[in-house]
Amino acid sequence: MSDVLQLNRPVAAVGVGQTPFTSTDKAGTYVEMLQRSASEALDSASLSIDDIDAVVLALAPEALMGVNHAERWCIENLGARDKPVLRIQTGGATGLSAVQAGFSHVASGLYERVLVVGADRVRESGDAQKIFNKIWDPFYERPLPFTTITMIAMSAVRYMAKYGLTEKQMARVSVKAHHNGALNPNAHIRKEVSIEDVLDSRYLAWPIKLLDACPQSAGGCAVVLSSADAVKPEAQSPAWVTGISMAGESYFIGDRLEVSERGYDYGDAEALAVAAERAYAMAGITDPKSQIDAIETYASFTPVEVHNAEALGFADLGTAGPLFEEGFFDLDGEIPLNPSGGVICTNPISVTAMVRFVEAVLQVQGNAGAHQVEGAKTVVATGAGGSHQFFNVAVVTSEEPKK
Amino acid sequence: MSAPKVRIVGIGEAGGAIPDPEASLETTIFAAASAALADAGLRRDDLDGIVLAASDQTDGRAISSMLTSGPAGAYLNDEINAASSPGHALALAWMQVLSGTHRRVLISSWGKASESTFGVQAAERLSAEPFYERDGGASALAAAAIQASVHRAASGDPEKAARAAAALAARNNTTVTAEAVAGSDYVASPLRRLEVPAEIDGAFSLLLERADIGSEGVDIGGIGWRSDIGRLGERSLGRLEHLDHAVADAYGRAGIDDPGGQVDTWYLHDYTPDAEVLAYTPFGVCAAGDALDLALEGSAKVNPDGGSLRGEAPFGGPLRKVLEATRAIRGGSAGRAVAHLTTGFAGQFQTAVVLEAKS
Repeated sequence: MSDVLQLNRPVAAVGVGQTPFTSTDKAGTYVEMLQRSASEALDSASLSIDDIDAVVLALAPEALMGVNHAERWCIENLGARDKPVLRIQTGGATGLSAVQAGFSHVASGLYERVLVVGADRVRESGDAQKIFNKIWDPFYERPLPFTTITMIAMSAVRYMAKYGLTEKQMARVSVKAHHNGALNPNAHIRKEVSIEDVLDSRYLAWPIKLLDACPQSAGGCAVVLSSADAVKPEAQSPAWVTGISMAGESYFIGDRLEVSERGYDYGDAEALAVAAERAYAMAGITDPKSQIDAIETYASFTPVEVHNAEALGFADLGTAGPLFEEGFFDLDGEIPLNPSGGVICTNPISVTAMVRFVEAVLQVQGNAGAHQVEGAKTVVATGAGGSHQFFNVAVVTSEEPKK
Repeated sequence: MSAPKVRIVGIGEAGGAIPDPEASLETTIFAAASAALADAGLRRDDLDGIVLAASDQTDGRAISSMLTSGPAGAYLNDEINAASSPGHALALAWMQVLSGTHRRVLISSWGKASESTFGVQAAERLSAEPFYERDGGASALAAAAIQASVHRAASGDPEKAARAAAALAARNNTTVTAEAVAGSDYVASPLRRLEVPAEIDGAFSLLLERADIGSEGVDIGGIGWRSDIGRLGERSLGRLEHLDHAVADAYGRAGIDDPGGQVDTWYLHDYTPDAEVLAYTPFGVCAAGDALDLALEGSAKVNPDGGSLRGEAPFGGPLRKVLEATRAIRGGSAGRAVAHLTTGFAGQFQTAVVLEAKS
């Protein structure tokens, strides 16, 4: 089914919170980070936890934290006893999926204000890549060996073979990301790098090098979603969520190697295009290049920024690499992509996709500080999870939807 | 714009008490999801989205939904995983349709006890709070036993409460007598082996649709869900205020103010007989103080299917309560039925679902 449906009522983000992101050994405890980000989001909405009708928890792979069903023992730390609480887990896409669940709470008309909150300590149980190997099927793909690094390396190789992407173009993506991250006080990695720095960094899995890759971060993130009627006058400007959707790929990467009807294969991001198609339809976006002012996309590795830009409709398939080189996606370019520095600079997995959403909210509120995109009114945020399998898209705008 | 009514138009179930060595987790989920689609006369392409309740812990996977979303019908379509409870997945799907963003949503949840190498309870221990309660031996079964102890002691007549539990277990499992239940081995004092459901394999699917599409089905009158805190030592295990509020939300949304007169059948989550008895008063099955007598007498209006003692799949199993309530209304034995689902230790997460014959 693909027809556009009529939303029951509009939903706004009225408060956001993030902890500064860092390495796990320097971060607070899990519940401290939940509390800090939730408090900041509530404060910015001029609300307390008593004003919140329901809570959505964003908690991704349990193996990363070493405790199962952590939603069962953090409720008291949020003051959410006796509230409706549910937990979302869609791997790396969790943060934006949780926002989508919170959106449904408010849009349904059942709840006026919902707190969406999560946190992660990615190295709590050791190197995340050893854990990530376990997300694959134990008989076929786990022994290859797949990690999230080798998974994207394989996609990048395919993209390079099809479209001619170069390692220098990938390095240009990293230079942009690190430049933007240096301007973001919450980013985990805040350091400018040069093309040479990236090209000289060690290979993790060809063609991915250390500076093409995200860090393993810790921190918390929170959003307060509200109906239009429940927005407090003293709160920050509401950011309206006009489109939101998710789409999933096949589990086995081997099933994505053929060229699809849309002309995508594993070098591209077909499910992201599908999710964007639906979110854009909800939001009335027919020409993303002219209607969207900035992009906050979940890209853990530099080649992913390239194919994400295409799947989101900002370049034709195979053409984004040169655009990054030309500065089209720079902070002062035509359409800034990841003005926050993106996932290349910060990756606290449970909430990484929520951070994309929060950064989109800050942009349309004009509250993004040194990495503010001038005049940003409509921003698209995306998440990604699983074996580059789950993708979600949200459109956030400063303009209240017409009733 | 007013929110549309939501209807259950298809149900599907797979698995059973005797594990099928040929059935993988994926094929079991696929069988349930396909059955729900077939029941509604629909295809996967007719769906606007999939909502899962997948427990990584139960499935033994780092991200269960990576594997399980495909057999549940998700591919290049909207999908989400409410990993805390199958009741939450149902509530989320309901809200998606109420929101106007989805017309049809397929919900699936499951548990496959036969694939658990060290047993379901060993896995459950890993969800206990890691610093204090895990070392104390907390598990779902241990927590249920503590709750049963608290309930029996708080009743003022522990011996009567024990007799009521045995009687209830014998009513639900008609192959045994109350005496046999009371004489069976302890699995976690005071719970006896014949008072606790066997852990089995099962997958369950429900297909929700906007009622204004006009298909045949069973309407969702209202859903309520509330949560208690995690620490067992700080909870009132014998008096579940969060269940009171979940029921009040569901009944309020369904316009029920006299449950005794307005509800025909309750499918209560009887993970122990004590849990069933504890739910009587919050759901309005009987007045406070009458619950033990009702359990001793037995009520044809509660768990007429035999309840969870037929065997319960871990994590996803409680979704069967909603399927049974749907069947009761479809079959004409009830005009309005209520389903009750819990997850977490000693019913930490409570969901109440009111279903009604098509309006």
